[in-house]
Amino acid sequence: MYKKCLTCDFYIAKLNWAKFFIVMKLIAILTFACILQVSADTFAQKVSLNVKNVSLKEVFKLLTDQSDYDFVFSTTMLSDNNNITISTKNEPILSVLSKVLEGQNLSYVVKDKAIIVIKKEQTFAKTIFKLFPIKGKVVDSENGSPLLAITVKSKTSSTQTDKDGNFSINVEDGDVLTFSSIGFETNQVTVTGSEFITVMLKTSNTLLDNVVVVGYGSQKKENLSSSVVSIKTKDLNMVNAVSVDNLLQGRVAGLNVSTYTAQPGGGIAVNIRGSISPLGGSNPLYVLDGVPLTNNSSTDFTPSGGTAMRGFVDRNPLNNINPNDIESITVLKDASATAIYGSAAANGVILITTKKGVDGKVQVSYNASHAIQNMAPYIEQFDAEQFMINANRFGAERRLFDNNYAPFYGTVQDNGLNPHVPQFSAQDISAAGRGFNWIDHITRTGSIADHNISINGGNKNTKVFSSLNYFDQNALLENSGMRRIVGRVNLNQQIGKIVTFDLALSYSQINNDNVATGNQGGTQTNSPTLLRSAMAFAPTFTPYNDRGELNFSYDRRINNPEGYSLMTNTSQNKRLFAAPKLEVRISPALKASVIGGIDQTSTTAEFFVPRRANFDQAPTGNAEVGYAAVNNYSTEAFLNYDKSFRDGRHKISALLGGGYYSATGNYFGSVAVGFPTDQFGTANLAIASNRLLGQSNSSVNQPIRKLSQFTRLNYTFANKYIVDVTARRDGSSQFGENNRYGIFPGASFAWKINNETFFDNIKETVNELKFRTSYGSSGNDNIRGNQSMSLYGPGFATAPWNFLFGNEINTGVLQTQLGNPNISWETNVTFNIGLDFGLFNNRITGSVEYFNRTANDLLDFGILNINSPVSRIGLNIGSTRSQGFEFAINTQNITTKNFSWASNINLGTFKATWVSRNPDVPLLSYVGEKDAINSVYGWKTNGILRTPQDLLAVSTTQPNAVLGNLRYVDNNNDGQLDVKDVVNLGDFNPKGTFGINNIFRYKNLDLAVFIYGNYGGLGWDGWQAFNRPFDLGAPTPLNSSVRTVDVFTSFNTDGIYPSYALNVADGANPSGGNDFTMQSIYFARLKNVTLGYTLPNKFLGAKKVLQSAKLFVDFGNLGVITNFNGLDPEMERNNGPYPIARTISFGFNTKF
Amino acid sequence: MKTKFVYVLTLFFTLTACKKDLLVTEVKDQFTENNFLKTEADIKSALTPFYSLFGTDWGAADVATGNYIGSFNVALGGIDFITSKMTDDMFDVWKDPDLGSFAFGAATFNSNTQSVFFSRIQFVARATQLIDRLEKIEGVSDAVKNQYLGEMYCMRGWLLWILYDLYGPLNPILDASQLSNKEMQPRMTAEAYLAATEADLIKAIGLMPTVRYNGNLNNWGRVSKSTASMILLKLYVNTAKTPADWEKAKVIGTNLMGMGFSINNSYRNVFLEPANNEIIYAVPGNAGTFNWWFKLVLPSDAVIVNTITVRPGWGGMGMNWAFFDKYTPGDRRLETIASSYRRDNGGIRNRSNGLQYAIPMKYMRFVPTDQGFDWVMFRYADVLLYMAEITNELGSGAPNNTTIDYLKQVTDRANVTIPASALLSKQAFKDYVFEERAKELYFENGNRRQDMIRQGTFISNAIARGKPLATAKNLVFPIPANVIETSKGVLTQNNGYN
Repeated sequence: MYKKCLTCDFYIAKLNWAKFFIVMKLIAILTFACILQVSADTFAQKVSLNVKNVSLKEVFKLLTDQSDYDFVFSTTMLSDNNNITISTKNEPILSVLSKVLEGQNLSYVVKDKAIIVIKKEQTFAKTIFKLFPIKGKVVDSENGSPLLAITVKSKTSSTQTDKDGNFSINVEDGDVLTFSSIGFETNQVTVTGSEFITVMLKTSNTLLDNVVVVGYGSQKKENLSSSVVSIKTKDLNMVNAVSVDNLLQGRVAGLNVSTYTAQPGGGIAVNIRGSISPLGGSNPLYVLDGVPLTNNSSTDFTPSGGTAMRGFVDRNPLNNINPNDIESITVLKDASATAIYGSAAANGVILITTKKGVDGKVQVSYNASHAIQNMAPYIEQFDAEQFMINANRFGAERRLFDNNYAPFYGTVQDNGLNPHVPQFSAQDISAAGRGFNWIDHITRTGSIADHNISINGGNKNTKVFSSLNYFDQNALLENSGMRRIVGRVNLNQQIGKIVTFDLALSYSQINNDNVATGNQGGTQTNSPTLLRSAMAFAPTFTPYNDRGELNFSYDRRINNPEGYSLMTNTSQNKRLFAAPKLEVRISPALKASVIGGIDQTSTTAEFFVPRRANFDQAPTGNAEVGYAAVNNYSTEAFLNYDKSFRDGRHKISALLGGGYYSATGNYFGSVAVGFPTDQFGTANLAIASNRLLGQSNSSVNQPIRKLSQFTRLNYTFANKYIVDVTARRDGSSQFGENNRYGIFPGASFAWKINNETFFDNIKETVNELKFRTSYGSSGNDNIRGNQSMSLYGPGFATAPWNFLFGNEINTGVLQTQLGNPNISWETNVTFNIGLDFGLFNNRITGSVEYFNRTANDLLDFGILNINSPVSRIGLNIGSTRSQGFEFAINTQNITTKNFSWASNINLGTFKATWVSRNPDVPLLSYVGEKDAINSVYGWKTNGILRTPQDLLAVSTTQPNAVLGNLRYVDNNNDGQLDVKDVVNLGDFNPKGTFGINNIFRYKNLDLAVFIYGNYGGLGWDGWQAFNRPFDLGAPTPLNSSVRTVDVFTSFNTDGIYPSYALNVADGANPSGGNDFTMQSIYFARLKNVTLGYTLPNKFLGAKKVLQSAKLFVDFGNLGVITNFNGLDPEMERNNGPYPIARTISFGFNTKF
Repeated sequence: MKTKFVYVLTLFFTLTACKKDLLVTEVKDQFTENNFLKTEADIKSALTPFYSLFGTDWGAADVATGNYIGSFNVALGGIDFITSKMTDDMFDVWKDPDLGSFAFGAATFNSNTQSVFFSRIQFVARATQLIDRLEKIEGVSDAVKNQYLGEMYCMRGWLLWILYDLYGPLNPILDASQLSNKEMQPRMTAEAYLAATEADLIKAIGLMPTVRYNGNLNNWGRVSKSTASMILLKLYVNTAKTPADWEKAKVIGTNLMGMGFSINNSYRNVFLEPANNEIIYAVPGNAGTFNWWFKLVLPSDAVIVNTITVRPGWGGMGMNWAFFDKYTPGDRRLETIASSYRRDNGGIRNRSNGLQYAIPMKYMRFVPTDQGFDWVMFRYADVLLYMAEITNELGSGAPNNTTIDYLKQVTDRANVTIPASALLSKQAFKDYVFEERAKELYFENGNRRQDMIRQGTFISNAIARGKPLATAKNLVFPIPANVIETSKGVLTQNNGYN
């Protein structure tokens, strides 16, 4: 029974539409490469044929009837063929067919269940491609067990292995078959004959480079349609690695990582594509081994009670994840990629995947390094002699100031009364010498010991990766450091044929020795820290007096820096993370997973100022013990469906899932003062007279709970066009009761241009070219859900609204908040367009993209009238936008046998601006509706008023100015300085951030040089803040920066900094700012230079116990190129920053 | 197998989609609208923050905004500290150039920061809100209700008076129906504002059952009839323009004199004897509270001051020698002011070897480690001096004996003889009373600024001290520039600060 094809003269037996497509494809083969040859005969179906002188057409019909095969042929093709006579019994069909076609100038190919008869063209025999089917089996190289769903690719087609590991594919002679799958090393086999082949695959130690973990699954890099960057940790510098986000600094275009403190394990500011939510926060969502960390805040806290002398302790919450355990990090940048994480994903998502065990011989790695840290130049303070000289000078100057004497400090004529009594006599000064250097006294050479052991192994059913990290840093400041132990066990257990159980388990403990640094607000007197104290304490004193007590400085409020070394200021941080996962492969295409997440972090902090520290604000001792914990629990279940149809022409990947998440936090602290003895420290708070008992407190943060459903559908057509659609529905207790649910959709499209035929002729040059674009929305749920409620509370524990009636302290309760039941998440809408390319056989790869990210319904406080009971209410209002370009390029500059040089460079730019503002908040007149979010406003300046002529020149605009005042620019020329002269001075955000990495290899030596930096952001002059001329001239002088001599004074009218005389004009400057101390900053930091030497095999010994070994030396933070005036363009620039270290590390990496 | 899993997953998704109550926002550490202000204890808690504004510790962060709200009575930043920088008595060691040189403008103070107390206008609205809720509260007796309502009226009146003193008439919300009105109202007229303040205080006097708490130490620290009367007296005296105004002042002053207060035998002991009969109102303090007074006034190397042993302080302020010289030798009040001290290195520091100011100890019992002590705010000597001033104003010529006697009770205790010249004319007596007020009430709650303004010497004296920027505008503070901007022009700036 033949049916005539309507549009051609082909006949198709037993036509069905499913087969029709195959046929169409074969027609294409016939048309364009019409000369084929039959070669293989391995088909099992057997037929019997006994005919005499029948036509070929008739023979085909008989064979069709006896077998499952259809025959496809052209009648014209058969017209000049001889009739057939044959007699066979129970022979394989293809063998029969071969006999039939013998000498007929015809051949055939088999495609699935179709046999296509084609012409044999002898003349083209050498140039034709000859397709023939080959069968085989893929097995695990360790145990020979069949491997399922391995992708097998030939030059012309691809398929996957079935559950028994079998495959069948059409090949041509000499074709190279590629076998690949996630978790296995790719293997290639050259086809030489037609025999059944068995291919062994090795389990891969590393995920394949071209596979990227995305939310709830993975994708091939080449098939990504959204903005996703994946980093393998093997490409990162792991020397002294403390936290994963630090490692990412400068590595990903658009990922802005800023190290703002040099504290060991200090906090890091991370944002993706700019921070555009004024109140919602800008931290990306971290997903650790598939578990979204709903609350990723640090549990480290600054003790709250008593008087402030601990500065701020700021730790990175990711310190408790051992970076050495991490296999890969994926940064999801656009909303199409992040929408799968819905309401938590507006600031992007960082997926962290830890290493997994592999099947095979047990492998032990031991990496160790030791580092020495030296302090980069710090702010220089006066030595004793200079301190005394300048205290006298500035003391005399202060007298002029105190009495408003003309011409520098007022209009009063100096009558010579109240003469200045110099603080220090000439003898004192001549005897002073350099005195005591407090900064030197409190700093030291730091050291870091870092040891990592990992053991990796397993069999086909059980695979384990386990590791232990010990990190011990004695940081630059005395008594400052961190010790970390992190252990991990990642288990992968195959249960039966279709069920796998994974467990990622890690536990860490960090013991921090805290030294408070930085700016906790206030001054060095009312908010002292170690460094503030060391900078202000007079260099004329040594730590102890003759009686063995700690000395006071002239101003008793300056704590003796030595006193800090008597303090206890420690915190112990623990984190338990467990992610059990059950995966069931219901069919080759369908997989069900259930994953749980337990993430418990806690910190116990102990703080004790002993009596003998002699701190003026804690004369009888001060103790605080506190505990803070953050717990995340989650459970998710999802189905993945991956299927290729029609020989991979259509690929569908689908996801459907749901999850429940809960995060809680709590804190309690107990404060005590009035210790009769230092003996017990924090061990016995009960002996304190405890007059701060009222400040003991505890609190439970509101729990966050979320319920979610999510789905994704990804469709690839012909390996050219990719469409991806995602949606997530989140319900969250963070949102107001009228707005509890939100839906976050995203879609993306990619076109792999290089797979188009018209691209063939330039494929040699441009081997990869992909265009992609996406659009989607995600939410920022970093809001306080209780903003939906009106609340009444007792206020802050440290400064409660209390009052004493009689002898009883009463607690006050005030309305803390006006509720807005409609409050909800912020919505980020991102448009992304990009091009990925690979040139010269991927010697140059990279991407360019543009994004436009708009935050709508910004959570902001609506400002109610200042005279109303609660002057603000949480609202969703306003809109901001960040847009920019990202550029990344990886090049293999030189690749010879002995020498290679590779580079990768990335650059991300963004500008974050307002789109629309809260209409309830009247804009200040000088603020533009669409200004940059971090705009700086102020008056322009034009130097210092140095001469009476200068004063005369500004007599209309600055009538009360005195010498040494800043000269302000009357920008609108209206003859007066006021709000109308305030201008937008620029943007605090840098215009762009970049990273440049170069890797050189010569024989066994390799050298990596890594630079990162940014440019174009405004910053404050970093030196002026340390000049304290007024305090230096006080009756109780404080030490000051050596640059204080550059302040304009009556005795130094060439000073470059304005005098401390009041600038009366300032009272009319509502912005409070001016450009005198501002500058546009750029910097490039040489973050790491690493030189490594890999031991040649001949050194490893014949038995190969040691499989590989590498020695290295690493220089960290070698220097900065910058135009910044100050200590460091990036780190703390405020009062008393943590000193910045330069690090040299030596170490080795070994494998056994 | 397959179907089972699909079933389990379906069940899971269904569950996650349906459990709505899981998502209810929970707040565990605060009261909500539904459970607050139900009991007398709640009422006490709700009242306490208004008192807390007058505490002697630094202050508190406003629970709604996180902005720091400094206490009115914190030694280092309270009303007295701020205003004394602008008067003749204080030597500002730390220097606040803005205030001391009268160089401040509207942009100098910002309502979001500590500022100069402007943001306390919010507490007036909070008081209005609480009064409204107390009026409507059920389940407590009328006596209890009236007690707390009276206290709240007193607190609101007091806040209104302080704000008037610093800023002139503002636009506080006094009507509960206006609490959620988004439209800001313009400033009240001075007459209406003062009338409202007066009404609150009169209401408070009527509602509060207790005259004074000197004998009832469990409630020491609560406002009473006498407290409200004292505030009212200050309001009358400082705003009096006509004889009728002075008459009103006289009535309330006379009432106060009949409330059982008396002048203490010893000036020094007024500040040392707890709840003594001269004290009308004091902020209570004990080891559980803070007071930074000694830190403020004691030099950083002082160990003995006027025979009492102290621990060195931070030396933030002193008394100008010129002001110190107003006291005649033998004035008993000098017992509380030191002109020299023993340094921690053993030496003596005094006027002749570099001490630039006298030390205004006032409280002659050193309290270590910044613990609180009763902080005297209103006292009977102040009433007597006001009565001398009031009756002198109401008289037509030289003061009569009653008038002189008010003054004499104060001067006698100080061992000061009133010079005959002071009794010769109404003006001479007035001037003398002001001098006496300065010496008697030094560094007490900003009295000096009020007195100098009333006397008309606040600006002229500043200019004479070499502060040429002082002008009439400085009689009140500017409203912070950002408040003016955000009020969309409804709130107008004080004259001269535009």
